[in-house]
Amino acid sequence: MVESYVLGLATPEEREEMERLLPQYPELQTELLIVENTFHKLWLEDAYPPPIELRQRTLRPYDWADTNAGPEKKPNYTFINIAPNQSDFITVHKVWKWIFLAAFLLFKLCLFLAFFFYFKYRQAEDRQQDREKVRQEYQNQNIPR
Amino acid sequence: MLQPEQVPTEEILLAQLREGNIVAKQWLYDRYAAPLYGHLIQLTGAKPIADDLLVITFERIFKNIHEYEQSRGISLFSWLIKMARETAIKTPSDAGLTGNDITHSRSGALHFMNALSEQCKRVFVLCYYKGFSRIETAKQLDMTDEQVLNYLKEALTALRRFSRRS
Repeated sequence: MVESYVLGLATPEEREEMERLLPQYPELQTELLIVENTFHKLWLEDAYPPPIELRQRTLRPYDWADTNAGPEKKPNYTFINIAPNQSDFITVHKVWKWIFLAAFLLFKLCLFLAFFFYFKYRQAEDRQQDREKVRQEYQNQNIPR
Repeated sequence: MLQPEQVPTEEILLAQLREGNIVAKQWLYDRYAAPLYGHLIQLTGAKPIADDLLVITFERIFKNIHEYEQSRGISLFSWLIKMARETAIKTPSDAGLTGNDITHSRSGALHFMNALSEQCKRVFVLCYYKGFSRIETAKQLDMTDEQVLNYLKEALTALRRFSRRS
């Protein structure tokens, strides 16, 4: 039904069907126009003026963000936000992603080098001890009785 | 560039809204805020909730204006009302509209419901005011999908008769 299409009660399939049929059947377009006009009349009858502050609340963010206001002027004061951040999240510059990645890779490299040189040192120590042992044995064998 | 005192055509208005023109936004608000607010009061039954919903509705409208396409046949006014209804349904609120609120409402658009049968009224309330799908409504009211569809058709026929009479 045209009414359910206008009121948003139609299922996605019915909506698609209506959108497909509308350009093909001018009488359907006329019917849609009639239904819409009657609903428009009802909605206008039920209109209720909203409180004036709602206009400010609705449009104020866009007043500030007006892109047609010309080039941005440099303010003659410094704005320092001293209000504590209530959010649980922080936002940082994108460059920190690369800094963090570099720090992480550096940490991994240092860890690898630490293990590498530690085992190198252990190996050298073991060799030293082996040599020492051989030397001791050699000395013991060559002690004249 | 749209001037504050100028009455724009729908095409110009839409083009300016897509560009983010503040005058076009003001014009749209001044033209449609009252019917949208009236509709939101009907949907929520409470003015303080309707206040917040009106602001959210216009935020959504300004953000999604590119979605509105004239080629789909539906007029801008109907699309705006649809956005208001969707906002009211999507925004969680404790004060939902009940059958009693509708019966006692002074709204002209809702008087047609007095002529509906109880079941028919409940189906329309769940589908239109609560945003339930037909399947959800059928489950909620322990009916078949066919019955829900028939009740909905009955309600929409009554609405059509009522709106053409007034």
